[in-house]
Amino acid sequence: MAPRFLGDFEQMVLLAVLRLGEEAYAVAVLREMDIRAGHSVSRGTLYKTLERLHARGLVAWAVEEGTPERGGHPRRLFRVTAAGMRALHDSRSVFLRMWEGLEGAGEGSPR
Amino acid sequence: MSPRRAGPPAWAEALLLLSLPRGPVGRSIVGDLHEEFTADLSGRGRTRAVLRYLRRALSVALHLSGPGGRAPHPGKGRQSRTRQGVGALGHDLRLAARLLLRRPGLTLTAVVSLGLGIGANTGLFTLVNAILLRPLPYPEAAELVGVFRIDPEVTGPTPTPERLSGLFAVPYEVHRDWVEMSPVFTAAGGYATDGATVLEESGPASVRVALMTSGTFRALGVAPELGRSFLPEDDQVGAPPAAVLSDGYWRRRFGGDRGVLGKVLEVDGLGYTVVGVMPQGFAFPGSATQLWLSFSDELKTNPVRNAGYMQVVARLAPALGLEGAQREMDQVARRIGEIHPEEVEHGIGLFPLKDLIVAGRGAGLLGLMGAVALVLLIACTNLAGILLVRATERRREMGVRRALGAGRGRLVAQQLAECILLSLLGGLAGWALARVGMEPFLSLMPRELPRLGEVRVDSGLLLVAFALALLAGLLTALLPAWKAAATPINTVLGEGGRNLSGGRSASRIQGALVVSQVALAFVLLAGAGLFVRSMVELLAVDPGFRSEGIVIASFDVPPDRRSTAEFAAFLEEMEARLRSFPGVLEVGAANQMPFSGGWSAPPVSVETVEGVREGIRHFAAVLPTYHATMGIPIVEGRSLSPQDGPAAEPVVVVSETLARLMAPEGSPLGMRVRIETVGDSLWRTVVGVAGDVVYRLNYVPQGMFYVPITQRPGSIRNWVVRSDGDPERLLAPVRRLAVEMNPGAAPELRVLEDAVRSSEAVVASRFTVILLGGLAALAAFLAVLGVYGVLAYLVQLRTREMGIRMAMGAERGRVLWRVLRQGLALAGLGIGVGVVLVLVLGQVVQAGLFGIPARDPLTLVGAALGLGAAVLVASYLPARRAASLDPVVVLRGE
Repeated sequence: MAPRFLGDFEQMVLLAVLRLGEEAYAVAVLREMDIRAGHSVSRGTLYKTLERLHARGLVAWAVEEGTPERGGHPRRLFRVTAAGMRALHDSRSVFLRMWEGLEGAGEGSPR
Repeated sequence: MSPRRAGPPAWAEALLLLSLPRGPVGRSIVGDLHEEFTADLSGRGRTRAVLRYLRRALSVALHLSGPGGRAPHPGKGRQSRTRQGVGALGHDLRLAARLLLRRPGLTLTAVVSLGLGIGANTGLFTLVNAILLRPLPYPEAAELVGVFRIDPEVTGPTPTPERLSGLFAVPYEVHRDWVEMSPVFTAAGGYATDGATVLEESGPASVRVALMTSGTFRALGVAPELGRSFLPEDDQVGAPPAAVLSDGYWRRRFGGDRGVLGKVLEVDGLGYTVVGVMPQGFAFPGSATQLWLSFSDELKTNPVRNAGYMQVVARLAPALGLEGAQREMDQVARRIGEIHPEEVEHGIGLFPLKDLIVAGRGAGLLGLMGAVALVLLIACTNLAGILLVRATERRREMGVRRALGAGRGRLVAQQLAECILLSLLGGLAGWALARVGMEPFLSLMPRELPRLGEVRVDSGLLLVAFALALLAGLLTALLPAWKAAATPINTVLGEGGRNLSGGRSASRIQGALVVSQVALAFVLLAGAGLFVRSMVELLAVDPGFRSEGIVIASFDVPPDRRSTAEFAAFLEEMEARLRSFPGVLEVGAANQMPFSGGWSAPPVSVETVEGVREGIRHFAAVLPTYHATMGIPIVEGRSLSPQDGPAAEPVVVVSETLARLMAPEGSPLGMRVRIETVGDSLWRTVVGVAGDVVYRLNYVPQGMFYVPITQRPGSIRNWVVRSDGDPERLLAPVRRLAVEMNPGAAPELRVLEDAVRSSEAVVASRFTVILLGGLAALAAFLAVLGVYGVLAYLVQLRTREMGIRMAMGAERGRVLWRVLRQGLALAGLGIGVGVVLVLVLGQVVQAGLFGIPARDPLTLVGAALGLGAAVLVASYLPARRAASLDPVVVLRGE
């Protein structure tokens, strides 16, 4: 796959998965993004993004048996793959390079 | 109702699962949403949790239903056609949702009208399904038949269960012959329903019971929940009296105690040993039955053959079929005729048990189903009208898209998506309505409607609602969608954005839709009107007696006062004590009387001018004061009198109908009547003629006569007390007296006027009136909405034309009238078509009407005026808008 920048949302999803470690399943990802980013996420968008990340090999998932509170349905646990880690770092360093020397820009200027 | 679930609604979960990719991906997403639902449930309550769940599920389904969830990108090369199609569907649905949200008024109108139509249909279909379509709740229920004695003289050659009047019950002796002689029954038995007084811990209670033989239980094939049902030993003479409890009685009286077997119930003074309990839901012959009792030895050994109190139910050997079995039973009837020559004319008829239970209700229910279907049809035309407006509005958009290369099918599909979404929403609304409305709806049903207890509101309902919704949606959507997509491109683009007369052909179709709506609404209104008039007629029937101020107390004579001497003393004491109450004018008594339960009709010989005739007649044994108390006029001869004692000449008073039968021209006085039952072969002389009395509002007995109770002692149940004030006042003291006179009885007291008002015929017709009235109002409302919609649209289309007219000097009044005239023309045409429909369909409802013809002109005119007025109001609003146009503003808008 040709190297490509990750979108904002993709980065947030990947970072949330990374933060959650062993417990990274969709509901937890939603909660994490809500808490950390103050970002209320549409379920549809999240699942689509996860599928896309999976299709690009940036996340992998494993299935765990269901519990009663899930109506017996299985749980999918996500983790960030090596390619995913690389993509995150690439994106971060691109952003950091672009920000270099601009850290204070605009903050003090009158509107 | 289904018990509360801990999870989200099963149907929503199932739908979601269907819309997602198969395998762990889809199932894990369902699980995620389930988990979130569980969390919501504890914090927010079920309703909000469900709403949030539905919103999330919709979001997920819309995003994941296609590849990548959006229309294929042109740069990415061609995907397979199906994948492209699926993606397009998701896209179309989302676009449709957005478009619908942008026009909330229009959307709401469509969803509400569809919801009402679908809700009504779903509810009624549930009922029809439970009563008519589903098999009876017995194993292999199709093999069960009712067996009847047929008297061809009464029934004609082909009796049907719809006319039960021709089918006769039989006594124990005849039932035994049938069961023993028939080669075609794998099991058969008899039963008889009765009211009984059971001594309970809290005192005597009145309980509905059914006497049963073991064969009846065997034929029905339902195993008891506890203990046993009846065995052949219970049918033997000398067997100890046995009782089987219904689940309801078991729970009410014994709290579901499993140690109830072997206890003794005191029923009408006799001890019955409890041998078993039937499972919940076993309701034979009807849900009122609480106990099943074995037949008494007295009935088992009674040799009488020409009475009738027992019905027979049998299970046919499956191989034979109904017709084959009927041929065999014809043979049995012939053999019985050889043994008992007086029965040689009698046949034996077999009828499917289900037909007997539903007996004649089918047509009425199907009629209602038809009415409800009409409402849905009107709702669909409304939806079609709305879609047509939308399609016309979007002609330009469609034209542009086609010019850019969009395929026609693609455009149609997009509009279909909109419609499917609308109808699914309508289906959801309808389902919710049916679920919420079912209980109150059922409580309106006449209690004697068979199988009412079997009606269940279940998830099958949802399936029906959505099938109806989709059908309705697709039917209505195709035409407008095709029309819009078919418009030639250059016409649309050449209009320069103006809507000139472009909508004319659409408005013609719309006009046709409105005409059919008005016509259908008219049919329903006229139908409702007919049933209202019918009910008024029913209530206005002269019953032949005066019910004001009358209280009836029904209870049995205590067992220790049934000997001839004691019985006479009992009657005297009762009468005297009732008379002593303040305000009492007159006191009478009868063993059977109008609006007070069943009656027996024995075979009777009467002398006529053409010789003696035998037939089934009603008779009542009464106190001589009965006619005076009830206000039944004596039109000829004299009334019964206290002098007609046991030693005097036996006398009767006959009804006018019977008098006409005996002597069509002259007077029946002096002619004689004989009751043909065992132990009674006295000829009784007619001394008077009393006015006819109706026993139920829609039933006049074919000939009735009255015998003084002292000349035919037996039971007397009903005491009639007329007072000069409010009869309610007498209820308490009369009840106390009844309990004092027979401490073992559970007396029933009622005010006769109430009994007449709440009688079966009135209740049934009130039910029809309420239901049909509601449907008609709904239909009229939808039709008026349709008229309003089309006129408002026409006015909008012609804004420019009208502006020009007014600028040229047309008066506002004329403009107003032009629009009104259009509305009235549509209504007039619709009503005209409706009148034709009513005239054609009238015959269908005639059987359900009382006292008026189905083509009653008053009703037709009334319905036409009502609907016309409603349409006028609906037309006035757009007309006023048209008339208040400011020509300057309109023309500047160009």
